[in-house]
Amino acid sequence: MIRDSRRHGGRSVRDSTWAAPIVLAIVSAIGLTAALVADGVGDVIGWAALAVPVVVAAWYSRRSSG
Amino acid sequence: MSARSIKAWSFVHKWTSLIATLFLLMLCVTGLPLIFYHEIDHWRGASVEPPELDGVTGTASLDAIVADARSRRPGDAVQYVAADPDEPEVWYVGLGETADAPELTAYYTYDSRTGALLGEYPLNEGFMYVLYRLHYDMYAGLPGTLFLGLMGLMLVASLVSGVVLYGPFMTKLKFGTVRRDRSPRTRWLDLHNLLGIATVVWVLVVGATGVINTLAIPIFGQWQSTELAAMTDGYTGTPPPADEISVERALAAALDAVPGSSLSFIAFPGNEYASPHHFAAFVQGSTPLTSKLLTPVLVDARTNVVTTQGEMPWYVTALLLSQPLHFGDYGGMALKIVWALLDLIAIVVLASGVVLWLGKRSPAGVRSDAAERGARVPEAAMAFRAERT
Repeated sequence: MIRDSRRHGGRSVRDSTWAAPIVLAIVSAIGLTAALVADGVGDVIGWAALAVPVVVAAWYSRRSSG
Repeated sequence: MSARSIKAWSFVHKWTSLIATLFLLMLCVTGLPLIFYHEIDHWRGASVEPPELDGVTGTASLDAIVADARSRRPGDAVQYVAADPDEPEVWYVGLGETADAPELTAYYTYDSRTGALLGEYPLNEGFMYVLYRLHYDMYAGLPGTLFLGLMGLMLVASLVSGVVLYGPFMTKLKFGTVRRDRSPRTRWLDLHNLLGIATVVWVLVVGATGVINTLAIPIFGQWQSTELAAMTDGYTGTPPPADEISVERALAAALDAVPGSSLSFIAFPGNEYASPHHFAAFVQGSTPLTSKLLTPVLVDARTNVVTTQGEMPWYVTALLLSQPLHFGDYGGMALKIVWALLDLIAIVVLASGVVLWLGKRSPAGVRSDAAERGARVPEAAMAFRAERT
């Protein structure tokens, strides 16, 4: 989700204070809206997008520091 | 950000959180099972599924169903008939002591194909009802509901100030850093920041729509005393219709008036959502979005002629859209599960906030905290130290 691009030589998205929070905010907003305006595909986009902050939170709270 | 403004935002974050945390924890804990209210009701047998009936395609008379409901409670009045477009095989009939009594005395489920009574919903009892009342008004009526709305406003202020403070705390840290090699307090702080910022938009939306939902009674009251009253004021002074009225014909007229609509509920004459002379059918559209919205259609109870069909004002529409966004019941079971997981994370954010506040009050916590934060984020530490003294 929040890819650590340092391996490829670039600056990591995680170094920026606001890049990841802004991406998570936009993904959350898309998730909240999608299921409201469309059934079927909209429902899938809805729960899948809202699962992104859950997965990110779980991933970083479990991994070791740094 | 200057030390002075960090100090000010810290003050807002600390006090809005402190005031509201106990209530927000209660709301998160009671809200968790309420996400699955519908499923739990079916599971414990409180609400019933219509039976599979092969080859039965007819529709029972709604007037006969209403007459049956009346005969079961002769002293009571029918307040409304409700439907669920997802379950066209059932009608729900709600009765009260009078047509406009604030509480229901019975809520019957009927089979729309055979007219048979399927079940009576157990009103005002059971574990889920207790959770619901705690979540809705803490058994304190409208003042309780409005108080919880105020706590929701505290939450919104706490979230905004929390996001503002996230910046200075994270300037030297990568996103998602949890410093496990530091003091427990530092770990809690990192976790609070990570979980808080990851879920902030969801918590903000559920919190803000919760606040709007606490205004449901004043919002509908405003609509009833202005728009609904205006729709029916030509009837002032005329006597209400006699007993021979037909909800079946009134409903047919209402659905004819709004093509492509289906019924949400139809209030009976005398109910506060109708008028003494009218049925008021509230119909919904067929798209995912318009199915959340309601159009009121007023039908003269004596003649079964549609007299007015109005649009809901913006404040009612805002309330109607706030309901699914607060309940999370608009995207199937998968969305409800994600809703529950986000709620659990919100509980950890609230609890870690309490841990951080308690830790700051103990001298040992203050020392290790100040030393560590001083090394990492000088200005934030300065502000926090200044605030403590």
